[in-house]
Amino acid sequence: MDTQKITQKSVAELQMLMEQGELTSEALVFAYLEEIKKRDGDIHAFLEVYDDALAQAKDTDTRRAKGEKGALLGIPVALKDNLLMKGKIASSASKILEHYVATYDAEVVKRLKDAGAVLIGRTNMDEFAFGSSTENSAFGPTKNPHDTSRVPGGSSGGSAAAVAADFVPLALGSDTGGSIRQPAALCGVVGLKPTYGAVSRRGVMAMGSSLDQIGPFARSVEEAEVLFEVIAGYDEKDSTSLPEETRSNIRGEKGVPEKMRIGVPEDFVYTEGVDEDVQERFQETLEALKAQGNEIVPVALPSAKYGLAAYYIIMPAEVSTNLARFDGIRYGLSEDASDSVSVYTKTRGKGFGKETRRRVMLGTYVLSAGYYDAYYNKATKVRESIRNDFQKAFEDVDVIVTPTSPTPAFKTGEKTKDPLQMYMADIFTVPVNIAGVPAISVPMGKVDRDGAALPIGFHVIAPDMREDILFALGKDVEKIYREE
Amino acid sequence: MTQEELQNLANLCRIDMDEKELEAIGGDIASILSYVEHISEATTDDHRAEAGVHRNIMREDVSETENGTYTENMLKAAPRTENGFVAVKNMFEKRSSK
Repeated sequence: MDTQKITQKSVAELQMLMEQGELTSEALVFAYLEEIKKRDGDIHAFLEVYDDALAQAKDTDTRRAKGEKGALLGIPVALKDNLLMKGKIASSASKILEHYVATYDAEVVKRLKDAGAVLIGRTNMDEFAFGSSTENSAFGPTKNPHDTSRVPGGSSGGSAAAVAADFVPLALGSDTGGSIRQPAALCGVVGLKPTYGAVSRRGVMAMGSSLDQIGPFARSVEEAEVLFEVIAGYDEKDSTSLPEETRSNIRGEKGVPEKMRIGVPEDFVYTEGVDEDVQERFQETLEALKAQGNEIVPVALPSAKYGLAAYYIIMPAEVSTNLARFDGIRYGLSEDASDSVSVYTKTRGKGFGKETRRRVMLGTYVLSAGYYDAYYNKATKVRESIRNDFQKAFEDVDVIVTPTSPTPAFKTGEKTKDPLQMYMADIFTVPVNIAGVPAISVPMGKVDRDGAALPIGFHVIAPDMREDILFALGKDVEKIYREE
Repeated sequence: MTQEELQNLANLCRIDMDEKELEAIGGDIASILSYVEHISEATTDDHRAEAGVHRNIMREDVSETENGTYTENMLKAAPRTENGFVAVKNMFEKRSSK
């Protein structure tokens, strides 16, 4: 065997080894479990490693022996803790669901099982996906594998850290305002937020229903693409799922331009609040893409600067509605009281963490009579403007690019006191969810902070259902930094 | 927001919070609102439909699973059950007899 550890091999290499009979899924999963045992004490990427992971692996070895093939057969995948897997706890990293056992499989979980993936465990996250650092987990923060004094980003920080630490080759997250792409950037891995409606959301705990999407984490664009293809598809049980006939672009039938016209929203990117060395790396990446034959042009997104403000109206409004189901009556934590309303208030008072209370309060406020027009209604109109900006820009360019996050990973505890400062971490990712278009974060090298080399991400945004373009340009960006 | 308005908001949210926490959260909400308020400067097309562009998805109102398939598992998840039902506390106070 070569010197590269089995846990660092790509999914394609692992498939080849398993196909040739040189490796079993059982041995592979065992190797990953050993890594987790050895190092996850410091990182805390996992909330639970499933006790049947090895049994699942053995089962896929049997499936292979019977002649089954498949891109994910025998490959371990980690799930964010807000995805349901029948018979397993799914807690959204909240006290209110600490012991909740899912009664059915999420559609993405069903698709993974059908494809032969080994579901290895559930990963840490900000409670109900509210946060950009995974510090809002009720079960303790996750640490960044590149520097454990720093956050991994969030809210899918556990999934990002698990992939970055070689605990698992692939993981799923959810992205409502950047919760896949921002932690992917901060942990130096690839993260994709698919087109709104590309992946079924049946069985993911709803946060902002007009914004949420499930998507993959991987160590390379190619592997993210493999996982995306397994989970994407029409689901009649998700009313926001895109019908099959609209998916010709996703399937790559339109073809990807060989040389791309790349749009840069300059007044959005080159501003105060975006670290200078992040801007420099971004410019270097653009230069390299230009040298590959692509064209770089400025593009205007005049309403994008209102994206974060509109987001912090629309999202909490939807959150306050979606979280009404946690009432201590049907499932989860329940605090005893003499009447029903007191059961609600005591249960929610005890079960919800700080950021959750903040968002439910804010959402209830912006939806209340007298404020609705000034906040929610206005935000909905701004949302239309942002979507129009993107559509207009895509008449001229193939993709729009920005840094994924304005800074590299910050220190644990650095932003917990000031929620608004934490929200700013998502300035580039939020407009994408507002518009519903797909976007990917691909590593673009590292910057230094206090002697630590910290990864940052290059953010590529494409028109609706053009994930194929994201994968193509993502691979070009990877080439730049592989050669480094 | 006054303490009374905050308490009212917490009641609407059905979340028990003490005075100290309400005060802190009131400060957070004020600073978030002062940030989001800048959307009022955005020029928007006021003639557009307020609810945005959506499509309706309907389905037949029929049960896809046999009655009882999930009953046991769902009842198992409920904190209090009685005779195959989810049990709740009183919704209304009993009228005192005179």
